Amino acid sequence: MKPLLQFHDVSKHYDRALAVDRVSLSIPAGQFCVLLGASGAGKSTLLKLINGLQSPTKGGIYFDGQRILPRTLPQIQPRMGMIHQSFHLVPRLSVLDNVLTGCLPRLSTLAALLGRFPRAYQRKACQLLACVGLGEEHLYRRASQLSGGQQQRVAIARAFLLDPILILADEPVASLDPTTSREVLTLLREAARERGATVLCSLHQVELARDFADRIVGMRGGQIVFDGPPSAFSEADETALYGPVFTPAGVRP
Amino acid sequence: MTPRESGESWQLAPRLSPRLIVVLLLATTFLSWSSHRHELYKLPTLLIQGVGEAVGLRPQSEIGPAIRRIATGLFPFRLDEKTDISRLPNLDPKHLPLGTYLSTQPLREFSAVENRWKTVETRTFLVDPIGYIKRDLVLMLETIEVALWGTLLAVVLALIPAWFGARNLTSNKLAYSTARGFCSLVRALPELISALFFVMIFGFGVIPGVVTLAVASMGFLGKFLADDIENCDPGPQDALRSLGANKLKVFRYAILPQVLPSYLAYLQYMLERNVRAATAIGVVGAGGIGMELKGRWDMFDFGHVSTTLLVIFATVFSLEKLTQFLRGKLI
Repeated sequence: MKPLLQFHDVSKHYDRALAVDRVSLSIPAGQFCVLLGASGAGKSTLLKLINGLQSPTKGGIYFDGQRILPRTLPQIQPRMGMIHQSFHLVPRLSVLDNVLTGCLPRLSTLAALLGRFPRAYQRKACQLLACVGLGEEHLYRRASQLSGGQQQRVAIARAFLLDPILILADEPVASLDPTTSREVLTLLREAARERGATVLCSLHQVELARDFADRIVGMRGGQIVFDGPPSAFSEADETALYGPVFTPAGVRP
Repeated sequence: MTPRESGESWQLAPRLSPRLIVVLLLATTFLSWSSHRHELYKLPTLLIQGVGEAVGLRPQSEIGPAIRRIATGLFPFRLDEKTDISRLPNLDPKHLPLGTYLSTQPLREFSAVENRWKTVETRTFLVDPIGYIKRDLVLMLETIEVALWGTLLAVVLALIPAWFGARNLTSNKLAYSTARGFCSLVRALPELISALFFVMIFGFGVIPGVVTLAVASMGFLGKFLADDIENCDPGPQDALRSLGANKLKVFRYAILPQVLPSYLAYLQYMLERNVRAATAIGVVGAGGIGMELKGRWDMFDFGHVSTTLLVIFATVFSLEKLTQFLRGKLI
């Protein structure tokens, strides 16, 4: 199968610090791939390299056969959806408008400034909101009035508005409680399966990764240290990822 | 493993630090030097003397006569307006305007030769008992219009320095410094002075007033809005940018909704402030009630001055109530 996303020997430096170190990775279409690793392992940077908020210092990233470069980004970005740890909804906009911001790249600037969203997108936003379990009564409520779980549902609806073929999720459940986390991840997996979208998702919880992932990629110090199915992810691998080197001296775990 | 510390030996900073003592000392020294320089210490003496005179403890004081002059002049309010009928050629004495009446008064002149007042001739005036209030209200409306137009222009125009003066929207250093510098410059310029310039350019009237206020408010709104844009939560902006939305779209959907409440609050403040400023710049010829106030003051017409001040106070007060009400509705 042709890979949807390919990393060729990618490195990224922030000043002196090395965030991503010679990563080569290939993700086939339709996979639910989970990135695991401690804070600072390079997961977020890896995702930012894909959506164009950062560009790699070395190496190339290919999306659907096209290299990700500043000049190719305008075509690539609308084909990806992004979900963030702190949701990043616009707090004072309504739920509907927040979802509709997902189609901004497809709108002319004038139409966007005037707030004229095509009827078809509005209809589709409603369908997506229903699909993530929100009701008509939520449509015109401000995003800031929703609970964390509901906000993340809105963010998922926003990410799917343009029928992306890739969803990037940066610790989507890190600020949610365990039950809600499972609900949100189930939702994300179902929505992606229905639409044939590939998911690259970074997580903090190993058990959630075991339950939801098709494949686990473990990172440490910017490098990939594990790559395989959840069944192959052992206790030893977990220790290798989150091992005691990072425990500061003098503090009991 | 190092033993756990008990916290017994930790250093605590003193509440009154030597640095604070030095700062307080310097401030006191400066204030006392400055007060002696300008003989500010005379102020309490003058006030105590004035109070002493008022309660009958002293025969007279330095500030007493002026206060009496102003107080007796300001009250009672003068609400009426008299117009010489020779200046009203179309007036039909049989059909006077509603509520007005004719009054005949002698015109007197002081004769320096005979050292007494002489009646020169008798003149007839048309007296409108509430004529001056009407005149004031018309002029107040003009002042409010000046403030409104100045604020409206500023609201739109301030978006330009705000856009270029926000680091997260403008990476060009020259554009950034120009926008910020413009805002500082027009804020540093007193409105009374810039109004003088604009009166020279545009002539007396409403236009120089509107321009003065628009430019000054642009400086304030531009700076505040730019600061707010810079302090805006970058999360939603990144979210929209990573989708591929351009700068204008990000501004419209991720920044504007976040800064709008405080922008409306500034707007409310600017409108109120501009009504007051429009009154002040009227004094130098930029239209409205300020011109009237200055004219009456120069003629020692304190009864009319107090009426005008009352109208200004009532307007500013009700405007404050109105804008507060509107803000409550909008936010």
